[in-house]
Amino acid sequence: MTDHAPRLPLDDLSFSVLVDGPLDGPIAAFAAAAVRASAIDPVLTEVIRLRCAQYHDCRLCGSLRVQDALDAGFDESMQRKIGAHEQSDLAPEVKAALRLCDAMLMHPNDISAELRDEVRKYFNDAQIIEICVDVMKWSQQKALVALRVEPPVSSEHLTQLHFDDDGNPSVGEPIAGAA
Amino acid sequence: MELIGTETRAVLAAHHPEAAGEIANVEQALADAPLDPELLRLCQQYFAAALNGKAFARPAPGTRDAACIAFCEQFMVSVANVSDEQVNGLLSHCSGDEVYNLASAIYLIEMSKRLELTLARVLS
Repeated sequence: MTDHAPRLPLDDLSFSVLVDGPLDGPIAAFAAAAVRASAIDPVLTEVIRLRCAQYHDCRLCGSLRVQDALDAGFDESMQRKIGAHEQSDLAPEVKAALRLCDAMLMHPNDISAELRDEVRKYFNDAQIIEICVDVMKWSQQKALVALRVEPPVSSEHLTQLHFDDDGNPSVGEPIAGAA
Repeated sequence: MELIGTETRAVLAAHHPEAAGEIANVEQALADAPLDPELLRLCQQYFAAALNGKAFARPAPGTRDAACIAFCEQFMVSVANVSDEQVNGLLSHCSGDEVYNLASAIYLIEMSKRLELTLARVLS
């Protein structure tokens, strides 16, 4: 994990923007809608979230693990395969989702017919849309990464990330044995 | 401002209506935000061109618009490598509040264009 000083000191911001910028609420509402969707399983959602975190070098996102995904079987051995997923033994449908994620993050206009067919082999339209909306949602920290105001919750250990039934996030307890 | 076109909006409304509704709310928030709508349109034109591999007429060097497009360019290629100079370039023309709000707006404009291009390719 890289170390960065904020490029936009928080004392440069007015109180109203700091506590509730004019776009913060609508972005959070979009994010919550993305989280509430359930056409794909929590483990795949976590894989997509962490791929976005890696690609954008989001220290905050990388320091968290969604508890629902951990409960559904996600573990750190899976996390370690995400970065080099093409060479991994991840399941074919997980690799297809990661290829779609990478294509959207890199060159969406170059998505090939082969990738389209592969994705459609494993996922229906609603699932494909959910994956793509998730990629947009899990890229919301790009604004904070650009300004380097996304410090990790802890640099010592991973931390639980919870979502309530409305899709609103909260930070939970340290995850024992995970760093 | 509209972030997505009619076809993408219809696809989202059919399969992910909550997301479609929240994107409409975000569009309204962008219209109401204390940001120059001409600058947001310039960002949108930049991403539409760049993500489609088309040419883009760059603003005159040293201007607010040029600083904004330089920020957008790096934001699009690798946000992890945005530089202090690129942010300071914006701060030389805009307040801290404006830069914070602009970064959020640029995220919405860029990623909604990526969403639109991806869905058009994969669902077609």
